[in-house]
Amino acid sequence: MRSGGAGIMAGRPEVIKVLSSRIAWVALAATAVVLLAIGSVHPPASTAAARTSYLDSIIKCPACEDLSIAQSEAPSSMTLRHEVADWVAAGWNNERIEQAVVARYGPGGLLIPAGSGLDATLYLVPLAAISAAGVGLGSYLWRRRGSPAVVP
Amino acid sequence: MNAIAGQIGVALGLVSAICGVGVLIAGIVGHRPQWLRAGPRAAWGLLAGALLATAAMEHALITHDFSLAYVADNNARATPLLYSITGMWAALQGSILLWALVLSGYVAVMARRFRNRASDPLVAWALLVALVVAAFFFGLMAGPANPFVTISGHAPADGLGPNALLQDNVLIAFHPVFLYLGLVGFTVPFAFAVAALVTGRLGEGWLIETRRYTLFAWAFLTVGIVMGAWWSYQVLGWGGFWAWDPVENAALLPWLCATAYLHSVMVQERRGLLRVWNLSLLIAAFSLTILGTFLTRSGVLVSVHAFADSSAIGPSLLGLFGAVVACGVGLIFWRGEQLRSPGSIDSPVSREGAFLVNNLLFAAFAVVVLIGTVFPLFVQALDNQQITVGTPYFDSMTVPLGFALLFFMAIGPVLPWRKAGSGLLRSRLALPAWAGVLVVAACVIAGVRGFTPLSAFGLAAVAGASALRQLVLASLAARRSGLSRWRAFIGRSNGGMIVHLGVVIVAVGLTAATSFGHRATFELNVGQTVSYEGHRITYGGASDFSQPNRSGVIGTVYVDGAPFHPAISNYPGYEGIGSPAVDSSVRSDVYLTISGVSTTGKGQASIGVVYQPMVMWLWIGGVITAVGALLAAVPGPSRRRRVPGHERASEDDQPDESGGDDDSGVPTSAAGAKAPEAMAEPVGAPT
Amino acid sequence: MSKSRFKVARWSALGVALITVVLVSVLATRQPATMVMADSPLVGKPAPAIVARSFSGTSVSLSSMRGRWVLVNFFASWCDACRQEEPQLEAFLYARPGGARTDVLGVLYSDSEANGKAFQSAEGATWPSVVDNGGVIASDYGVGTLPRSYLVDPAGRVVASVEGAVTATELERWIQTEQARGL
Repeated sequence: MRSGGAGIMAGRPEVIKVLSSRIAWVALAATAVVLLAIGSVHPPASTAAARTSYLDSIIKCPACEDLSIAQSEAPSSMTLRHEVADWVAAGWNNERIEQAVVARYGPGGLLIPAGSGLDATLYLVPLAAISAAGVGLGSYLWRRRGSPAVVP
Repeated sequence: MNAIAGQIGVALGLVSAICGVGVLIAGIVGHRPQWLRAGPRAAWGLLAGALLATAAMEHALITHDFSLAYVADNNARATPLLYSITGMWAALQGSILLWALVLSGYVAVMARRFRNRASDPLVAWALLVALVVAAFFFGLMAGPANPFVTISGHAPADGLGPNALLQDNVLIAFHPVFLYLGLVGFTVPFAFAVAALVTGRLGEGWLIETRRYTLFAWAFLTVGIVMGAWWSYQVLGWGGFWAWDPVENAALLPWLCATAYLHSVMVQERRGLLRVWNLSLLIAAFSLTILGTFLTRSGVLVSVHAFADSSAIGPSLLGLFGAVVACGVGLIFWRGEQLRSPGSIDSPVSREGAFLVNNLLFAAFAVVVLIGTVFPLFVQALDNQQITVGTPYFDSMTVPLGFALLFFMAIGPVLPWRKAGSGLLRSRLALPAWAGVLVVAACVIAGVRGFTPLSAFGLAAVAGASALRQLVLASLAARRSGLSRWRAFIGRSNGGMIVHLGVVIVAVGLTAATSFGHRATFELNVGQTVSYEGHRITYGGASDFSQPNRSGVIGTVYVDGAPFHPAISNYPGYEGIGSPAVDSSVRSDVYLTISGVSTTGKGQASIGVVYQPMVMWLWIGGVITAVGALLAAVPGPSRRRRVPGHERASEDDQPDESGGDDDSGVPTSAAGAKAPEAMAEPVGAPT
Repeated sequence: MSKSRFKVARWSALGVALITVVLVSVLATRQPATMVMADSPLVGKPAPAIVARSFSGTSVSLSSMRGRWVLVNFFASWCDACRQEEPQLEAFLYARPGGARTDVLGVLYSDSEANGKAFQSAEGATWPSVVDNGGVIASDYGVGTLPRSYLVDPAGRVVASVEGAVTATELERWIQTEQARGL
C-alpha cells in the first residue's frame, strides 16, 4: 500500500531518499556482510593456547564461589592454571583434564555441569521454553497479518 | 535503652500495619467510606515506627552499645563512624530493618498521594496489600529477625566489627540503599495491580498512573546494580564486574521484569492491549524481589555475598513468595474473562508487535537467569550432587538474547503504532543502519577482529543512532513549535531515548572489556619494569601499614610513570584481602593487584595486571541511563492529567509521527494539535 | 479469538503455578549450603603423595607415616577456626582409638613460612608442618577454603574429608567405624 506521490518522502532530504531505496539497502547489507567477513578472519590462536584458555574459563577457582581459574588470582587458582597448562602440554585432551578436575574437586569443580542426563535440562528447559514461546508468538502474529483492526 | 526504643518502634510499625489492614478490610467489606479514609493514617504509624527503630539502631551503632547482639556482631570500637552508620544494613536483621524503613517510606508516600481518593475501594485495596507486606516485614523483625536482641549477662567490652569487605569502601553507604529503594519500590505498583484485579477495574488507567513509581524504582535499582558492579570491580580484586553470582542475579531478575513492563505499559496506555502481560510483569517483579531476598538470606546458595542464614527467616520469605505467586496466579485465573483487551495487534511489524516480542525476550532472559541460579539446588535435590553453574552457561544463553534486545532497541523507536510499511522503515532506519556499518568499518580498519564483538559494536551503533535520531527530531520539532530546544530531552519518550543511549554505551563497554581483556602476573623486583599491552609497569616497592581496624602491606606500582597503590589488608580473622588500584581512562583500564610481597632480599612481589578496554564506558553509560530515567519522569507542560477511567483504548486511527508520545510537551497528533509544522516528519497514510 | 487468548492466559497461569509449586518445594527442603558436606571425591582413594620440607628443615613424606592414622591438616595463621581446632588436633595426636597409633601432618596454605612457623609454635603444635611450595599439595587435595583436613588410614587411603574445624571425637568415631569394618 503505497501512498500517492509525496507521502512519507515529502520534505525529506535527498540523502535520505537515496539511502532509503531498496538498492541502497541491498548495498548496505552487502557491505555489512563483507566487513564482518573480513573482521572474522583473524590468525587462529594455537590450539594449545585456545584450549588452555577455554579450560581455564570453565574450571572453578577452588577458593572462590563463582569465579573461574582464569579470573581469579587466588593462589589455589594460579596453581591449578599451571597444572592445566602442564596437562595440555602433556597431550591430555579436554575430557581427560575435566575428569581430573572432577576427580579432585567433585562435579562442582567445573562451572558448566559436564554430566549428561539431568545436567542437560539446564539447556533444554530454557531453549524449549523460548522455542515454545517463539512458535506461539509466531503463529499469533501470523494470524494477525492479514486482518484489519478489530474494533469491538 | 536503645533496645527498648527499637523494639517499641518495631511494635509500633507492626501494630499500625495490622490496624490499618483491619480498618481497611472493615471499610471494604462493610462499604464504609469513612473507614476507608481512616486507613491511610496507618501509614504514618508505620513510618513513625520505622524511623524510631532506625534511630535506635543507628544510635546504638554510633555509641558502640554492645549490649545489643547485633551491634556486638557488626561493630567494634575501632570501626570508623561511616562504617558504624552503614553497619545498620551490614547483616541480616539490620537489612530487614532497612527494608522496613524504605517500605514505610513508600507506603507513606502512597497514602499521601492518593489521600483524596482514599474512599475508592481500589485505592483501599492497594493500601491494604502494601500494609500486609509491611506487616510481614515488621513481623519478621518482631520475631525471627529481631535486630534488637540483647546479650544476656555482661555486654562484651568490644565487638567483632563489620565484615572486612564492608569496611573497605564507601560504596557500602550507597549500593544497598539504592538497591532497596529499587527493589522495595516495586511493592507499590504491585499493590495496585492486585487491587485492580481484585476490584475488576482493569480498564482504567491505574497501572499507567503508577507508572512513575515503577520508573523511579527501576531507576534506583539500575543505579544500585551498576554500583554493585563497580564495587565488585573496585574492591574484590579479580578485575571483573559481573560474575552471575546468585545475589547479583537476585537483583537482576526483578530489573528484567520491570524493564519489560516499562515498555509494555505504553502499549496498554496507547491501545489498551497487553493487560495480562503488564499485570503479570508487575506481579513477577515483586515476587522475584521476595524470591531474591529469600535466596540471599536463607543461605541455600553459597555466594560471595549472602547473609548468614537464620532459622525462621528463610521459610517465612519462601512462604511469602509462594503466597504472592499463588495470589497473583489465582487472581489472573479468576479475572481471565475480564482481561480481554478491546482490540488486538494489527500487524506484527508495528510498535505493539515489537513490544510484545520485547516482553518475550526479557521473559526468556529472566527464565535463563532464574534456572541457572536455582539449578544446583534441583540437582542437589534429585541427584544429591553439588554442581556449579557459572559464567560460561549464563554467557552462552544471554549473549544471543542481548543481541536480540539490541536489535529491537534499534527498530523499536522508529516503528509506528498499528502497522509499518517497508518504505517507512527503510527511510527511518537508513541513517542509523549506515551509522552501524560505518562503525563496523572503522573498527575493522582499526584492527578490531572477532565476529561477535564487531556485530555487537555495529548493532549498538544502529541502536544508538536510532535513539539519537529521535532526540534530534524532537529537538527540531520543539524549535519549530517555538519551545526551547532543551524540551527535546525531557518527557517519557525523550528520556527513554537517553536511557537507550546509556544502555548502548554500557553494551559497547561490556563487549570491549570482555572480548579484548587480557591479564598477566609478573614477579617483579623493586625497580623492575615490564611492558604489557602498551603500558610500562614498574614495581616501586611496598611498605607495611597499620590502622585501627586493619593492617597490611601497601605497594607502589607505576603505570607509565604514574603511581598507583594496590594493597593487601589483613583484617583480624580473614585471609588477606587484596585492594586493587586501577588506572582508569576512557580508553582502557589497567587494573593492578599485589600479592606475595617478600620482605627479604630484593623485595620481590607478584604484581597482577588486568588490561580491559573501555571499562569506564560501563559507569558512564550507567549514569546516563539513570539521568535518562529521571528525565523521563518529568512531565511536559501540555501533558494531560491522566485520570483513571479514561484509558485510551482506541483513539489511534490518527496517523503517527516519529512514534514518540506526548509526554515531552511537544504538541503531537495524538494530542489533537493542529500544527503541521510540529510534526517531526510530514505524514501521509502509512504505506 | 479473544476467548482463545483468555484461555492462553489461564493455561499460562496454571503453568506458572505448577512451576512455582515445584520451585518452592525444592527450595523449602534445602539445607543451608554451609551445612552441606560436599564429600571430597578423594574419599576411598589413595591419598595424594606429600613430600615436602618441614618448618624445621627436614624432609617429610606422608608415605613414611604408613601404619598410623594420619590427619592431613591444612592451616594458615590468618585462619581463626584453625587456631580454634588446634586443641582438637592435639587431643587426636595423643588419642589411641582401639589401640591404633595416630599422627598429624600440617600443611601450610596460602601463607608465609614465617607466619606459619609463628602460628604453630604459638599454639604449641608438636607435629610436623610442611611448606607447600607452589600450592601443589593443596591443589592435589582439592583444598579451596580453610580449615580443611583429611583422615588417612594406615594403608594410605583417604577415609574422610572435613570442611571446617575438626573435633577429636568425630575423628575417633571414624577410626572406630573403619576398625569395626575389619580394616
